[in-house]
Amino acid sequence: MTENRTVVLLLLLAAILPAFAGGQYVMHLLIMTFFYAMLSTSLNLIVGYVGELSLGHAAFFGLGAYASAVLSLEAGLPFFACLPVAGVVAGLAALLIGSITLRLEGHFFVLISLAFAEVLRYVVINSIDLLRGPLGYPNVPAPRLSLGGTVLADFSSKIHFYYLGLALLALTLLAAWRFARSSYGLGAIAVRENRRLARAVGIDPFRHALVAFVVGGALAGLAGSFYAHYLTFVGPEVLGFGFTLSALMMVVIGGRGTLLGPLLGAAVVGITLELLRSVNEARLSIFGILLVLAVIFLPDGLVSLAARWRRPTLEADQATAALDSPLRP
Amino acid sequence: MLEISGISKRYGGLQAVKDVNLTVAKGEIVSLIGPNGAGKTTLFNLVTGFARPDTGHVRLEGDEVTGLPPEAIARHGMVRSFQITNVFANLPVIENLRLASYLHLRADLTSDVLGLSPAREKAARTMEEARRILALLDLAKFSATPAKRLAYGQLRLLEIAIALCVRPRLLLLDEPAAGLNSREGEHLTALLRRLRDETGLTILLVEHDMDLVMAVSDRVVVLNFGEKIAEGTPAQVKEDPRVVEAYLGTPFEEEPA
Repeated sequence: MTENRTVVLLLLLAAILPAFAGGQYVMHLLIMTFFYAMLSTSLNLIVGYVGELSLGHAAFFGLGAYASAVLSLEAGLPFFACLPVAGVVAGLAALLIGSITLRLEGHFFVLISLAFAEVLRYVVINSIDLLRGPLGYPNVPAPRLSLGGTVLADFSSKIHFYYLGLALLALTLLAAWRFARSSYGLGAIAVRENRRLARAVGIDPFRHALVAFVVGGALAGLAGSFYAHYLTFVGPEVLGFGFTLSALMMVVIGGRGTLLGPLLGAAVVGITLELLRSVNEARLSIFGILLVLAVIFLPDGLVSLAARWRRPTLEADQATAALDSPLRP
Repeated sequence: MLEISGISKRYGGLQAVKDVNLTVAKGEIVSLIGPNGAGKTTLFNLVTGFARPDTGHVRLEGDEVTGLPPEAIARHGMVRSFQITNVFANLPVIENLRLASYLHLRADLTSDVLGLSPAREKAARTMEEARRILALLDLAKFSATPAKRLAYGQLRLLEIAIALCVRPRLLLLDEPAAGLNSREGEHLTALLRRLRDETGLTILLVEHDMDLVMAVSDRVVVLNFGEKIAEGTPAQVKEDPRVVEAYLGTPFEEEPA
């Protein structure tokens, strides 16, 4: 409950923030933070809830970005039509890839998920006639929000993207929250915690992993569409491992399997990366060290800090109460 | 209720289970015993879908369930516990039962995903039932304790609670008394009887604790080297020369649990 409230509070704070800080640079930072929060929230459904390490998440994000760029540039569709299509395309790709790869678990799944994304990237690089290969798609048009004949927002200023990003992030979080609270989220947690026992109580691991994979894939596709229209360029690097890695760092540092975790992770990782821009070459090395430290000392992420403050005493009492049997395994 | 006919399983050169026939009637408590390596756990795995039989059939109340995956068999109302303690260790006890109640928490898709009142009411009713099961097993006071912090005896009870939350018609317990002290063993005996008498549950158990087996079983089936060598009431089986021989000639009562 308190976690949901924190998330809502953060979103509300973000909504009123532009009234106080409106610099172009700060706006850009926050827009990218929203984007990364969407991406890591979508990855968290698979990594955090089902507990399978998917290293091919950029495939869904990239497909969404490409779908949106191609549709708006080649078919002239407006952004608000491209956006849902990008989600559907990425979701269908997740259904297809997931129904093959999720039959494997553990290391095998990790490897094959990475392989799928890399294969897709090479296919795009080599589809020069169809998808312009390494040239990519420049000049992806900005969205345009109009009602009747009047233009409400033409997205010529960053503030429009700011609120669009915030709205999409809120939508992503809403979807993730409902997933986690539904029986699908429950089943996914059971599979993550103990696959064998989950099966014994009637939970089909494959089906639950697939649902999470498809929802996560579709949400990544939406993030991809937003990315394409904000940065106006889509090339094969959107399918690269870098995006998966960034999102994964955010999920792990923020806290796996929580709603707030990826959000905190995106903010902390995104802003730290930006602050370290002055030491450009050492940036990723410093980050690697931070990630290692986080995994060792804070395996449940930043969100676990709050829980650590709150309830050490209660649990200790219950633990001693449970110790009345002399037999321990 | 449960009908196992001509079931066999071979692992490489080892015939783990050979042509076993076994029936369990509704409301009966049947124990499966035998020396280590007799194929008891393998038989459990074959019946509950964790392994596929080479030949033979498993029927549950007339439904053919042979070779179905474990989750499908659980949906048919046949639920097992494991020999090695198996719970959702990182989660509090009550959350263990919430996950175990999965099949009964599911509402229709719309209210499930949107969290509408049919789903919420269903969840509330299910959790009420889970708390009742918790109280039945004397675990109510550990509701908020993470499962990994429980004492061993309580963990074994939690496993039974998890199985009960699936609301089985047939409960299969793999060595539920392993590692329990004698007081806890007696407690378990009383509990199994109560479950049968009060809820009409049918129970098939694998067990080495002969006190428990003798006290609780209506019938005992003895396996040795994958084959059924004897079957009957506890008293009959105890006197059966083949059974005594299988246990290396030692008098039955002195067989260490």
